[in-house]
Amino acid sequence: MSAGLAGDGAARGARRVVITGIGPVSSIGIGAERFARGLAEARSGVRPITAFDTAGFAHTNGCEVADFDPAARLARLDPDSVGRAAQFAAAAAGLALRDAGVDPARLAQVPGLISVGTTDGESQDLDRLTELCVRGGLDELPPRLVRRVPSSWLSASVAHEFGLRDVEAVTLPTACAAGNYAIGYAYDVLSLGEAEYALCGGADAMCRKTFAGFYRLGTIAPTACAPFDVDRRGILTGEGSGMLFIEPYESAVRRGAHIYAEILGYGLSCDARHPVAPDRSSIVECMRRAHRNSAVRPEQIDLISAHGTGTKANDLTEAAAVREVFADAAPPTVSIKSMIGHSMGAASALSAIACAVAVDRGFIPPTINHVSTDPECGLDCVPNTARRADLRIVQNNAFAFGGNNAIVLFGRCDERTPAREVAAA
Amino acid sequence: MDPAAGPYITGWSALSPFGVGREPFAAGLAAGGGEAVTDPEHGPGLRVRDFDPASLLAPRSIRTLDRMTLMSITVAGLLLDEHADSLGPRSGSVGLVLGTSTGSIDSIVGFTKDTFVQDKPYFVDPAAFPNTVINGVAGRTAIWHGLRGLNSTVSAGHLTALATLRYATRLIRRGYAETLLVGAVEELSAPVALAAGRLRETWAAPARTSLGEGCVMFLVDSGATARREGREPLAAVADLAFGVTLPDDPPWARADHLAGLIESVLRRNGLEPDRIGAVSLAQSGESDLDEAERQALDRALGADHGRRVQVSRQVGDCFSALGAFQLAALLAEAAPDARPALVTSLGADGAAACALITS
Repeated sequence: MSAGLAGDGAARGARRVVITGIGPVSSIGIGAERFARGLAEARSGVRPITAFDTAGFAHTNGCEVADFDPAARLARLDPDSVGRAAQFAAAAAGLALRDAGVDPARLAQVPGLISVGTTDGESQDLDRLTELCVRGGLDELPPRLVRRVPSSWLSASVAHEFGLRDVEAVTLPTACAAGNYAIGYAYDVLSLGEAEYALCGGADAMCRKTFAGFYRLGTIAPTACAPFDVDRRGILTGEGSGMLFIEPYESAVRRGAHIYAEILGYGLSCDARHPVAPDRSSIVECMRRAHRNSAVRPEQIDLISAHGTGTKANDLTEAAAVREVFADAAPPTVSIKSMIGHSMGAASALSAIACAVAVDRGFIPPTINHVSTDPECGLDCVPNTARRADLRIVQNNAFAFGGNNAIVLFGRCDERTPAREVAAA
Repeated sequence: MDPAAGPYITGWSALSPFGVGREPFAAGLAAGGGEAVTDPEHGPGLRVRDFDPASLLAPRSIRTLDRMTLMSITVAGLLLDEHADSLGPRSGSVGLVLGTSTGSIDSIVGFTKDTFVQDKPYFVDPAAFPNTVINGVAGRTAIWHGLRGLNSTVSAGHLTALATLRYATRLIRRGYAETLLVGAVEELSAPVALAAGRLRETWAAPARTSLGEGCVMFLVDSGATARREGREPLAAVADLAFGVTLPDDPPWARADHLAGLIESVLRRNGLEPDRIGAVSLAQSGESDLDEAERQALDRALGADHGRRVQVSRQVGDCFSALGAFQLAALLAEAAPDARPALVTSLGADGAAACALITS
């Protein structure tokens, strides 16, 4: 058992897996082009929260997906039959499929996997059900709302939207690391040859419960999220979905698809120490597992897309773990949460999409709202402005409540220098 | 046992309406009855009997833990204790893959309620916040028992337990884990009883099962680990198949689809229908789904093959834990059938699954 997520043997000889479609639904833009432009232009998705009544809270900023019209975004799925998180997931999957140039009707002919990570599932419906209970509206409790609650809808609705019957649809509710869990699982399933494609990522909707919880913990920033800044004040809750279309390298090449990046491998760890506090040694172990599983050495990594929530505790712990693994040579370490807030189960999936965009377009998304780097963090967080860079291998960090950590590695995948060969060099 | 094969189930335990542990569950099933435990505070349904976490887990404090978490901690503890000798110091590197639909709805509703009724919307109990996140149960269970192996939470409605087994066996096959606790948990609470009751009112026919709850966990080892540690395999999850039917598919599609999954599993494993000893059905209580499940089995196996086991009659519809009870019901049989068995499941979201269990 000491081997943990070593998987060297597992990775070699298995099929290579590449990202050929990205579907971001975020507060800084919906769709590959808008999201990529948002990252490059250092856009902020912050606005006053409208998802719930914020009366009684002193500060009320968040990162909502404005102007999301489910009816316009969904073709087959009855928008009213599922909650906002499932709407996000299905819409994001559709964007990923279109971006990949894949016809769902052809997809239906081969076995696939749908894996969607989440923190709270249909949290807005649960907020609403609770409100009905409180206000004495039990008789009005709509069965339609009850039916939408199970978090399995986040993955099932993707199958419904695209008419996919030969799929394994699974939701992985591993909180704020869930997107990476879902991408890692899909990578395994495709590597093993047990599916020919996967739609994987994460989704969550802004909710009162989670906002109140973080607010009570004192971790909601008054106005803006400033990861790694000496004056950082915490997170801003967000929402959205990031879905990736991934397939075996051979199939991408065969159909002449544009390859954003290769998934090199991933690592999971659980510190089993504290329900909310991050644990440095467990994060270090998670990074090392991800590196071993991907056959990558730390010095080969050109960029870390950090968990970077902007809380005192996370950023300090994460930075210390990075410095421990990378010694004095930590690569640029950025947090896109500064732009899109903390979108919970979608966070690491949207961060994975940012990694794919960064590798593909050759730039590092910035950490915005940055004034002065916390010397205790001591990382190059690429403040405020995107930076051109030739990126070969990038690392996507995600840590969650319950001590669930997940880190995925992506590599550039042009035909002459497949990422794995670069890694082995 | 073939060490290259597996993973194997080498142990299991349960919290059920028959009580705490494997023996009461096995005895209750053998006796054939399921006695409704009604609790006016929590609405109608089959509650776990004799569950007193404070004394079961004494002397440690359970103050900030919700009931669903306590169920999970208790079953994990029973299993870890039973195998303490062979696990030894390695118990610290055991992982946990836990199935749950939505975590504790009771905790979520209770916490959210405070945002509406307290003087300030943020006057909520910070210690209860982790209980409102779906993976809270798995995280807290790992903390309680010091399980520093991989930790994952899986959700797939009625198919949850089968999806959880699928996830766990892949982690082991990939070499990421050697020994895992794999299971599912469901909690019956007042809000769940209320909400499910409203949903059941919309069904075409009266519900055929009570609402249920409980927790089942299996100790799952890679073949090499089971042999090395001397843990006797009870069964192997030899194969699984999953699929989805769509809302606009015709009514008969559900049975056809599940029959197709069963046939594909039989074909892949070179099995004729007459080789199947038992089938453990979901029969979760919604007449259309239950009828489709029975039709699928009749079609794929013929009505004469595969003795039908219906644990939901005795433990109720335990939703995301039902599949774990279905598998446990096979393992609990006093005179186990050496022939392969099937576990089937249909979800209200259109999903279907079939697992092949071999000895």
